[in-house]
Amino acid sequence: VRTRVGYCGGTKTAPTYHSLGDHTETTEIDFDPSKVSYAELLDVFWATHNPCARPYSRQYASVIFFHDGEQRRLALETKTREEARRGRKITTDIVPYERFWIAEDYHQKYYLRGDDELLREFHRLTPTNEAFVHSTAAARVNGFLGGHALPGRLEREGPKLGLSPEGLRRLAAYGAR
Amino acid sequence: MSPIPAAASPGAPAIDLDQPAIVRTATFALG
Repeated sequence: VRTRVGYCGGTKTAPTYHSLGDHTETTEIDFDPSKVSYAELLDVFWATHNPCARPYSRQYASVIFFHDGEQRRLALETKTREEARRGRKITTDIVPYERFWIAEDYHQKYYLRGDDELLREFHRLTPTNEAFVHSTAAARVNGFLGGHALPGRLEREGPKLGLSPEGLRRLAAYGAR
Repeated sequence: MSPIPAAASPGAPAIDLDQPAIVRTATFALG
């Protein structure tokens, strides 16, 4: 539904990128459980980074912050499964979620921030930074620009994103690259 | 806990207005 990046897991109050304290850079995903399950998100988590690597630092550690007992159970089960499959120890921490500190605006929607034309359209669609960060459309466009469009998705959802015809053409051109 | 979406602007995308009734949150750090 939407995504945001921030800092989690540490004790420092109000961390910032340049004063992170003991927090870890973190992604938060609000999802519709009728469309995608937590187990499927875990599959993506394990597949999109190297959880066996020794953490470079607390800032860049591999961590699952579980929100309830079911998430904890699935995280632990899939960690065991992944270790068996890889034949290597996984360094990922599995810890209870406590508090998420949202990162500075300039870290949010990274790919979308790299396209001035589409970003200008979102300034019109979501006039406040808060609305922009929490926008489902902005999360979708950011994903499309990052090359993560599932087949047929842009065609299906494009008309609902609020973009101008030119903006939509621009977005479609990324998919064709 | 999910943040409450900000009030929609007049030209807000349809996809922002059409929100699911139940939303869960997942929190990951990818190294």
